[in-house]
Amino acid sequence: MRRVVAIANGKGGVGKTTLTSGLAGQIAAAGRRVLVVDTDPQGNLGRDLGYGPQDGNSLGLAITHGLPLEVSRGVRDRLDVVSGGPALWDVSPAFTARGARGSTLPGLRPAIDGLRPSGTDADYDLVLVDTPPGEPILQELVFAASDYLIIPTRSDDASLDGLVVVAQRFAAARAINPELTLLGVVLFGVRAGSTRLIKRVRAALDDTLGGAAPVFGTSIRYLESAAVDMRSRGLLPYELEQVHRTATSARIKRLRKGVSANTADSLLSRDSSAAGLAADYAALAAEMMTAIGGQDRPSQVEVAV
Amino acid sequence: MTANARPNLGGLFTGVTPPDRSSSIADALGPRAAAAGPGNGATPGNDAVTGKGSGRSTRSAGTAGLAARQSVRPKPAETPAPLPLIAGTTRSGVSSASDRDDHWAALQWLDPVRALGSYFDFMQGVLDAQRRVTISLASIVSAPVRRIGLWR
Repeated sequence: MRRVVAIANGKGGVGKTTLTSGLAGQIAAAGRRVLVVDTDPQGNLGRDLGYGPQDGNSLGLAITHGLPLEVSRGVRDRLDVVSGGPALWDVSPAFTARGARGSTLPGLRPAIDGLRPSGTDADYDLVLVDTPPGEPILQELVFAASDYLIIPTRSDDASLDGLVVVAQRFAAARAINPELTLLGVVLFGVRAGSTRLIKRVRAALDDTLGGAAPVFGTSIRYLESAAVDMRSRGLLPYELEQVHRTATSARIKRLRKGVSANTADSLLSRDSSAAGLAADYAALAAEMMTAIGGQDRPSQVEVAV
Repeated sequence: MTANARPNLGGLFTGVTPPDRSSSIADALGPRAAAAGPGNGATPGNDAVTGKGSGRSTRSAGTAGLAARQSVRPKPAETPAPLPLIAGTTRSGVSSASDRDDHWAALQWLDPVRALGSYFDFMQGVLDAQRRVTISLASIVSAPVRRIGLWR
């Protein structure tokens, strides 16, 4: 039974796209069938997953005209993607114009409801939807089509403003989708070892949420070098860790031959930090699936990731 | 985030506190969005999208029903037609109260502004249908080319 999870915040640069691709890859690698839908006109998810920028035409026309969606199958094992892109800028004006005229548009939900993985009768286990920060109509369309919401946030004050924005949109969207549930908030991009800061921010977030949802126990660490390595090569965190393992043995071979260990295509990140980042995503994926399992009946979702 | 006073957003997430503004898409979301949910079946016009069923949980069914209730509008076909009331007038020769109502409805129907509005509504429908068919055909034709471009 599929669950549709939106990743959203009212502020940009808080890790929505990185979190979406990282979680999707991690859960697909663990054996689940995952569909990722990129509703961001910037279409950065393609860079994270290594397939480059797309136009987003298919998704835009599916939302506004109900046309069948084009799905990029097998982006990773068990991981399919519906690409975003600049064509999604046209969705908000279309909704505004049609709403004023009293006519209607299909929206996102019928488009993704009909999608199935290829080569199997089974459904997707999880649909992760990445959202743009500054497009309220697109964000509400995603909320109207989702079962759960995860909010990534950073530790600064500006991120709190983003929380307020997304809370208002969430409440407005519940008029259409009363079952939409906040699954939790993820602290993203904090320096590993900043335990006092993390503790303080977590307490502040708990106050802000007022018990409506938990702050996930797992935070995603800030690693600029790993982020550059991943985006430039289209690697997910667990894949970067695997690349590091291979690269380490190659470095040792070069050193034995008396050649410089560093080459032009050397990774910027350290293997230990890549392993730590991959561990963060694995822990968060497990925590997310547990939280979904807690919201559903216990027998519907297995917890192990 | 730690030093400033923080708003409590819990009520917004649990539905206790109403939002500052209403949803900006509720009026524009079509009934097809709701019809795609479990138990509602797929509408014929959207078969290609909805495929063999939604597979979503039953917790979404109530949502679909709500969206359907919010988005259903009177169709142009439900406008009173002039023919029956003309026949009624001929039958009795005297205008009853209901006949007067019918006459008023007929006058509304014959109103040139209203007729123009109906004409353009009809033409808009035709253009929308043409657009959908054309875009569908173009999508089908260009899909293999795009696919090649994607994986190059």
